[in-house]
Amino acid sequence: MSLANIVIGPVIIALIFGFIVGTRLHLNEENSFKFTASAIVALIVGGFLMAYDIGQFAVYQDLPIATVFLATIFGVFIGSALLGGRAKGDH
Amino acid sequence: MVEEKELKTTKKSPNWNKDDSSPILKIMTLPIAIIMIASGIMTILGGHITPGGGFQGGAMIAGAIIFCVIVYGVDGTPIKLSHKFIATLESVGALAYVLLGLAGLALTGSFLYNVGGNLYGVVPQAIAAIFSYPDVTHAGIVPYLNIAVGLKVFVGLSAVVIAFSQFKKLAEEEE
Repeated sequence: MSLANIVIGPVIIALIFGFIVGTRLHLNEENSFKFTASAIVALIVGGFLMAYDIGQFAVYQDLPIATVFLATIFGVFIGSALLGGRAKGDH
Repeated sequence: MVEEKELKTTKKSPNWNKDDSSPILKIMTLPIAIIMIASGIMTILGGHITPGGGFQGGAMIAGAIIFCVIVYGVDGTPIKLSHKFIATLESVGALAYVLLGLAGLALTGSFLYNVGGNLYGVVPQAIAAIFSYPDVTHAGIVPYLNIAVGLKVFVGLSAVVIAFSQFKKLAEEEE
């Protein structure tokens, strides 16, 4: 297992997929109940722990964590930060 | 005639509103929904290796959306899916599936032939490399089909629940 063997294709697709879902994240005073920066940090730490516990797919020999799982979580946050909550139109 | 009794409230929750979700639910819903979405996408993208696939993963992502709709209500949900978004993604998923099938039809005469896997060696290697999914399993177009199905199932199931919630809201407004 090494970083050089990392399979980048599924990670990129997971980032894109998470980004698409993250663009629909629309937080306001009513529904962002306690979802503060500390909650986001806790979610990322929890995500890392879960990814380590899940492990990589069976035939992948790159990293001992579920890279797709983490890429999705980061994709959701990136999509939410860039286009979510402030997108005009049909929210 | 039966007298309507007032809801009993405890001293700890004097402002308890039976139509409002619990604060505990509201705190936990969004983080858990994000985890469910990540699990669903992982199920979709590992469909050619692990148990799962497009439908199962799409249902998991839809479950996250439905979770938010149930706890926050269709108007207050943090993950809002508009009609345009649902229609676009559903169309993209269906179109991708059909186009991948037509690629096999055009190149080999068989609809949904696995052009990337090229089991029978009838497709030139250069064209097969274009459709090949970039991982070690050489599954060809199967992961892309999973992604297309996952998109369609995700928005389709979410649309059903969102529609029912809005019907319920309309019925309540008419009363």
